[in-house]
Amino acid sequence: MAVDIYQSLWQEFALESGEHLDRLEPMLVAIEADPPAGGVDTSLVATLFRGMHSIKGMAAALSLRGMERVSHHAEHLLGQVRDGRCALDAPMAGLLLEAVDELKRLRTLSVRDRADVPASDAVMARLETARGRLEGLKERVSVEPGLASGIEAALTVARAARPVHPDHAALRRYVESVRPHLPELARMVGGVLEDPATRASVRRALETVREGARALDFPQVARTAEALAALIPAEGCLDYYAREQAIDGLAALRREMATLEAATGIDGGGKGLDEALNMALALDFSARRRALLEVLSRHDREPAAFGTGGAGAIRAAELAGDIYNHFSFLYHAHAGRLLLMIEDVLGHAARGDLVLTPVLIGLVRQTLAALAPAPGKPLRDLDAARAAEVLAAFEPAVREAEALAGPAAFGEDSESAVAGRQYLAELGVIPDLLDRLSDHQLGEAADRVAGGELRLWQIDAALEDAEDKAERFADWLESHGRALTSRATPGGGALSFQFLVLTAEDDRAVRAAMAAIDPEGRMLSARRFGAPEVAESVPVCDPAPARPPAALEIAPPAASPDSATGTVLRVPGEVVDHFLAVIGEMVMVGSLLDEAVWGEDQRSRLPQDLRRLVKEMRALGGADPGHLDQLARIAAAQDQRNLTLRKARERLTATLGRLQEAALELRVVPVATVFARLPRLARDLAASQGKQVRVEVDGRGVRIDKGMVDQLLDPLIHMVRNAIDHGIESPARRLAAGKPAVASLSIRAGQRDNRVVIEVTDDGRGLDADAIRRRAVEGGLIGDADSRLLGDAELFRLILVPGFSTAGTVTETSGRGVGMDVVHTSVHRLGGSIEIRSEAGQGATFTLRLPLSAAIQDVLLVDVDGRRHAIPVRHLLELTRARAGQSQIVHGQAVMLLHGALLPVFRLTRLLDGSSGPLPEGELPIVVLGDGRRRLGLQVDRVVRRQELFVRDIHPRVAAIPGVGGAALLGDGTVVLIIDGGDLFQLAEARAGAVVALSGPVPELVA
Amino acid sequence: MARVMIVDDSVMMRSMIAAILGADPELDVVERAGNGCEALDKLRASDCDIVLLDIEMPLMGGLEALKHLRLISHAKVIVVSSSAQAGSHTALEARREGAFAVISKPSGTVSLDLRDKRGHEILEACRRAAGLAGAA
Repeated sequence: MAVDIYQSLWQEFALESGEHLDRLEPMLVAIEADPPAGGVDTSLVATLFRGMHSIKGMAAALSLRGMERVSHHAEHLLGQVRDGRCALDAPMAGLLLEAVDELKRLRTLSVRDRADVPASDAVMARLETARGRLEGLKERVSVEPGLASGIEAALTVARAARPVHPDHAALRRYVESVRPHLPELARMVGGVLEDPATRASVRRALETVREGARALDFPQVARTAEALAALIPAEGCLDYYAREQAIDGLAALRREMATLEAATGIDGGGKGLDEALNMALALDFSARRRALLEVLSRHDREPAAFGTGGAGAIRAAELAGDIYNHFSFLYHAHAGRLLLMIEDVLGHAARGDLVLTPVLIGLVRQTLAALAPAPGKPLRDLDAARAAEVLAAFEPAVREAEALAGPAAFGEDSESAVAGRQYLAELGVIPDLLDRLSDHQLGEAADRVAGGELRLWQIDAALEDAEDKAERFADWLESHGRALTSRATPGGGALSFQFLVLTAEDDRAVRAAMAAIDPEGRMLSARRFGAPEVAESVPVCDPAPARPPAALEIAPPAASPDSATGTVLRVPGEVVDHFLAVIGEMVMVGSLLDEAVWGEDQRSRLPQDLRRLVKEMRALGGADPGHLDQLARIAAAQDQRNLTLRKARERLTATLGRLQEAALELRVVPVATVFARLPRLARDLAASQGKQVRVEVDGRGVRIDKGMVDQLLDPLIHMVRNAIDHGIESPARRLAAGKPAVASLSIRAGQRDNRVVIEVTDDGRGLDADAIRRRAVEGGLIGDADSRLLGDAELFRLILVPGFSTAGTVTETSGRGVGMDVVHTSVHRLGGSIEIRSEAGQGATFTLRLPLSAAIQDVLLVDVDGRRHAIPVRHLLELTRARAGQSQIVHGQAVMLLHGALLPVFRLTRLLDGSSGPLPEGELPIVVLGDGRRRLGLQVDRVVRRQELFVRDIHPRVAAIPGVGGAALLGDGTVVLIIDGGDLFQLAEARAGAVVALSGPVPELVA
Repeated sequence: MARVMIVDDSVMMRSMIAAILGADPELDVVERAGNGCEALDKLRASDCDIVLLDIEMPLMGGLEALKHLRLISHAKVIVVSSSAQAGSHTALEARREGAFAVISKPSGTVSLDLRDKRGHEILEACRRAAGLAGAA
């Protein structure tokens, strides 16, 4: 079991991390090439961040430290972008692309070996440098202090995604309707419930809440109100337990209402309820606070109870959580936050994540003291500054306590800690401060300071009587550096501290900041460890890995996983293929059944025969009437059976059709997945030629068969390459021609009927019809006189002919041609067609028309010389037979007269293997094929049936054999070759060109 | 037996967490969802007792889902997220929005050894939320 899970986790990791990386890359490429002027769209940033975040989480889960480190840093950078602390500009996108490339490399190796692979030092160094520099940057202009957290930013995006309720007007009415009632509910715990009028009004209030919630389909809100109503006794007040439950219930209800108030922006009476409860619950709060302090006092006597799994820590965390839960509805944001911090710290202590140091216990006590209400007064929230101060004090204490508990996430070993300590001591850090650093901190600080990435400062701060300065100093610390540790200054006042600070700021900036906070210089003094530095300007990112300056633009993939709300199953491709093969077999069995049911065989004639027999026997006389009646009944029963069979067969046909359609759906993927790789290709190509191009891809949600993905990619790459190589001019030429310097290349998909249409359009110089004509004549593809009869569209088609591109060295002025025959072949293999439109100087459009599914082909199965072949019906004109006297020899080629025109006839196998010989004698079936211009007849031994076949990928060597278009698996497991009709015409023409050319236009006939 | 839903945008994480919970016969993973919207839709169709909720997800993240969730479901929510370390803003925010507990994502669970700290923590939190005695 465990082994299976292990196996599947790795598989899922490989799949999922690959998907994320494939999605991140094109987005970053687009941003790098052409950073949007107004900043990158926030939802795109959120997507990038989440992708990186997911990769990090997955890597961490499998202990892939190398990938974890790279993605961690990249995520951090994206987090800074998301929070508005820095811009996602071209260098940043380039750096992130480098991270993506490195992650791809690590992923491949890790998946192969199922082991961690260390990240490249160079990449890590660049990421860390960028991160360190960012941490030193002061710009936080675009972020309001309250919004500093990325969570809010993410929420703003998320909020737009879904309203709390679809009917906003109804929601507003509800919130308004409960406003007068909500404060009433405080009476449940306020001790005046004995008055019947009060009880009635509380009941009414709860009923209003409940009914409205039911109507809006908020079942949990309704349940909360119901539970509260159930607590109200027939007479008198709530007893102790009921009162406790009521407090919890009110807390829940208050929180639920807060969500609705926030969603509508309307006061729903929440504030009124808070006011009433602040008074009613002051005593309850005090009692609980005392209980928590009581438990904490045990820490001095038995510290073990506050270690991992310690009862004291668990109880204390529970109490803190209880206090929070009970009083959260009061919405004392600052006090609540501190309570949660206490709960969180104690909870982590109980889980062994941190060691409850005396410093932390002291902070917890201090915090609780600050929360105590004055006797006889309502509960009041802490002021923001005081709360921030306390929270800020927790931060370093928690990190220290965590460090004491064990190695940090990226587990530095103790060796680096020893070396680190030595290094820092040499810099002059006093032992008293060094003693307070964890192994992890020692190693990290030494590394980053030695690497010149961060600087280490000791800042002495005497902050007594200067609350505003203390706050500004704390702010500066939080935003511009990191306090590794601190201690009370020996001999200083109660609020004098020494801080050990890591920062990316240079000397001047730190001193300026200190001077700004404390102009007189009486309270703050700072010294940096290490050699004096030269002033420098700090770029955000290392410009070293310069990327080509191609200008690109890309729309995010239309059908990204983000937009799919349904459940996604992952099934290996072979399973689906097998599934389809079996369905194919069922379709075949279905047609056998058809024959049995509809065919004029003995069974279906049986009832008539029987009835006739009975009639004749009656006429003859002498037979036992009982026997004859029995026979008549058998005939009737047989009729009935045939009828049932037919109905079943009809339903089976319909069901099979639906099944096949559904199964084909399993194989489709967004065409955007094919497009995704093109912008980067275009960018690299254009940059290498000093051209500029804006690439636009739009899949428009069109989905194609998975089997087409690889076959489609090749021609698309060729067309993009071709457009950039030959179509798009240099910026200078474009400007000279009055066009914008940046060219545009668009690749769009659309769906018309059951065909996919893909258009590749550029605004380059277009195709030069005359140059193509000359090239074709020189290459001997066409006679000079003939060539002058062709229109532009026909001339353009010549570039698709295999001989064209090899006709000579293609020069700048020769127009298009390189590899376009590959495009033609691939598209043709897929059962598609190409159309070329171009206007000289204005650009060109290549339009591909492809079947939605290349995987299923409608074929005619034939047997020739003991082998079965499949002929795609799209070339099929009709089936006939060569009768004696109809066939003759013209120019050494067998022909027959069909519909008044000559039809060359070939033995299918001979055409394929190139052998020759007379056609076998006898009246054999002839399959007539046409390609719109020519016709040919194929002699076969037997026509088996028409069927839909599921085409499988075949070995390229087999696919390269002329005449072979693919292979398919029949339901019984035998392999059958699928004939390429287009190839057959070429083979036939090579064999008997003149005769085939003479075969004339195709008569209007339907197969 | 407590009905559990796992909400995480990573298939792999869902599998891993489900495997961890699979060790406890009293926890039954009945639903999985890839984002907040999907989780809400599924909860509307059939309520669960415990929801294990990731924070960073497409379409609708964990914190937003939490707000919507408590209007419709009685489930206790345990936030399982790598962005929720001790004392972090996310952890506090999740608790403020009514999460029953906030724990870190499993890491280094290649062995799927349930003595692994994170795995144990998830089990422990689920058992507490379900009102069951502590795990062995």
